[in-house]
Amino acid sequence: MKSTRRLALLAALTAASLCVFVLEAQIPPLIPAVPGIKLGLANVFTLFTLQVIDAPAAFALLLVRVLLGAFVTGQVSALGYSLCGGLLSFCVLLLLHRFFGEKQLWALSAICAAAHNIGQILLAVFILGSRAVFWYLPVLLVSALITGSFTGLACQLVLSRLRASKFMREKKSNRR
Amino acid sequence: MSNKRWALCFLAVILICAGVIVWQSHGTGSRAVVISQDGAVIQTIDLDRVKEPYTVTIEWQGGHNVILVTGQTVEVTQADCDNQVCVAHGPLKGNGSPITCLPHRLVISWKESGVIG
Repeated sequence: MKSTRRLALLAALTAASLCVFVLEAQIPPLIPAVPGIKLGLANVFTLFTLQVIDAPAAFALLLVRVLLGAFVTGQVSALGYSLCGGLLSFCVLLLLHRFFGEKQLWALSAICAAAHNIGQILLAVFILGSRAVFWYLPVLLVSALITGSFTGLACQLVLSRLRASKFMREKKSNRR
Repeated sequence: MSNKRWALCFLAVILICAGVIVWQSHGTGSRAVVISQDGAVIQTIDLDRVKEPYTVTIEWQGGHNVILVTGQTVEVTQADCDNQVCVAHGPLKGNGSPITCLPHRLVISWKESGVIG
């Protein structure tokens, strides 16, 4: 991909990801007693970037979204947890990416969502020094597998529609 | 692995977790509440000995959590952290989830409740 085009596309995707993240933060939590249950729609963009651009671009998008997201939503205390979850989930994503076809993105996404929540819980156990936090693990794993599947499916469907339409091919032929 | 296999795999994990959740929510009948902060136990309250409801204020680096202790349960009624998860949690139930305030490194749980800890 041409570097200007790559930069522009990555910037647009990052902005969109941040917007979705902020919008999602406005939705009241499904179960107030258990922090960490959310849709994670912003990760559709991370997955999409990994598929369409490349791994460094996806990593940049993730980092910028997590950092700016924490400041925009004002929950700076959650920054460490987002970072820890995000990094672990991205490592898993990179390791497993080659084993999953584009028709199986939903499964990859579910596994990454689970890794995200496991990363957050590990950091919470480490920081709080209390194993009581492990109580949340099963609840969060169930929610991660379900929400992760759906966000992955969203990305998968968008990709298959885009590849089927003329959009992606047209843009390539425009290149000089 | 095919899509179907992954679906079955995830379903199995979800079922196992559901089992653990059901198992977790069986009360141990503990009547003592442990308040810990930053990994150290700072207070253990035996609810059977509580005659009148009272509040405890826990300080943390300029922030605080106000905990209401009654004969039945405890709950965080007020906190100045940025996410208010501990307040939204409500009272500590049966063998329900521990109350956590991540910004203030506070954990309130039944003594020896849950799977571990």
